[in-house]
Amino acid sequence: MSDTAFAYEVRSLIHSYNGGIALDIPSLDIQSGAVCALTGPNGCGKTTLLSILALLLKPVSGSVRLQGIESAGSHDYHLRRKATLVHQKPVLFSATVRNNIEYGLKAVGIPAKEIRNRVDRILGKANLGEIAEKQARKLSGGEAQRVVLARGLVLETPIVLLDEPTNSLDAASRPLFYNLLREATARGTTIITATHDTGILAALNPRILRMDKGKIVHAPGSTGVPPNAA
Amino acid sequence: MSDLRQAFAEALRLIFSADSDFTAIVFASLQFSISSTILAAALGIPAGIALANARFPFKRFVEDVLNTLLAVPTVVVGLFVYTLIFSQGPLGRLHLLFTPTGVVLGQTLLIAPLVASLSCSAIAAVDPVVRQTALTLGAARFRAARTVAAEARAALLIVCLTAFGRVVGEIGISLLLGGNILGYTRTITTAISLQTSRGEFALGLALGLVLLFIAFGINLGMRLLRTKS
Repeated sequence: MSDTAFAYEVRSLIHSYNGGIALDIPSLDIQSGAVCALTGPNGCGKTTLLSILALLLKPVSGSVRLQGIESAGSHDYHLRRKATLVHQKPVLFSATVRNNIEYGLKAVGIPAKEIRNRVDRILGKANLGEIAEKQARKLSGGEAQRVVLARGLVLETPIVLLDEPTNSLDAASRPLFYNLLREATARGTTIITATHDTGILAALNPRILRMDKGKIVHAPGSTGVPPNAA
Repeated sequence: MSDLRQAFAEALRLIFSADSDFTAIVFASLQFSISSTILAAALGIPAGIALANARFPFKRFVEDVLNTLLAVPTVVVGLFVYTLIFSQGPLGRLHLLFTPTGVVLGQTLLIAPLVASLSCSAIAAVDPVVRQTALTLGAARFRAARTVAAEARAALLIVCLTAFGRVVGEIGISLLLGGNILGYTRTITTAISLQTSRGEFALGLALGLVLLFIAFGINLGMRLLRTKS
């Protein structure tokens, strides 16, 4: 999907909250098309790192290059459109499921016909067809989680960032979601997920980046690029 | 006691017979209040949204100034606008004094800070993940702000109702800038004041009942909106 070697090149990244260091990453490279899993205890900095990689949070210091382009900060929405973050908390807009899934496609200016096709496709794959016209705020936790995942994946951005994506998913819905992620990796999408779900690890065989107290304490040299990637 | 009973009976007669003076006064009041609420919403809601989303060094100070303006008495706002629009004032050439436009201008200035301040709070109360979600889905900052505002729409409607409630019951601006001219700038509150000073309570009571009815409607509307949101 991308012709640059690295989805991310992170250097001397420091972030702090109220004076306490939340993130301290001297160097991190993630290859384009790689699948990485951020693991570690709660509060170790996974969500902060994902927010910085999504260009939603400006680090205190350090640099983040996204597909070879240095981020100028959180105002850089053109660069931000290369990555989509699916938050841990499934927040849906007060609209129908279909409107929620269409939101990003409209925001980036995809033609109406293409929007309809893509939305119908993802509604079918995520088993959301029957609730497409339902008000999103009235969904159960599991349904809402499926919608936010579909809403993130429908954009087909080169990079997808997921924060504990399967937390609210019931066991029956998880394989469906793993398939969606496999399809994305087959397209060459770079996926970085914070997760405790062993199912994702088994399904995607990602490069594991173990974090503790804001540092990456274990990052094996594997590229994380799955063998079936395009 | 019997005088009061008579006044109430006369007040009810004025209401149900749709007395021409009575309807003219109620109509003028509603016209001014609705106009100023719409104008204040057009100015104050975007300002509140911008303030909620902005990050700048003196943001707290600006919020404090806005909150201070909420406490300014209506006569002070009226006096301020009077100095602008009276014949020798900087806007004197526009002949706005003792006109409906003058009253609406003053009322708008009274409630615009209220609308801005409450809108800012309403937007700030929206889960920050909503804005982050909009941004990460590709929205530019303006679209993201619009999305957040849409999530706060019930709260923003409550802001407008609150502003309307404040303005429909004010007297200082209407009296100073309107001049209490019957059929032109006489509002419910200025009419009540005049009738009471004359010792004629019936019309004042009838108008007071209308104000109570409006206040009840506003409260009912706000409760419904809160329940819906």
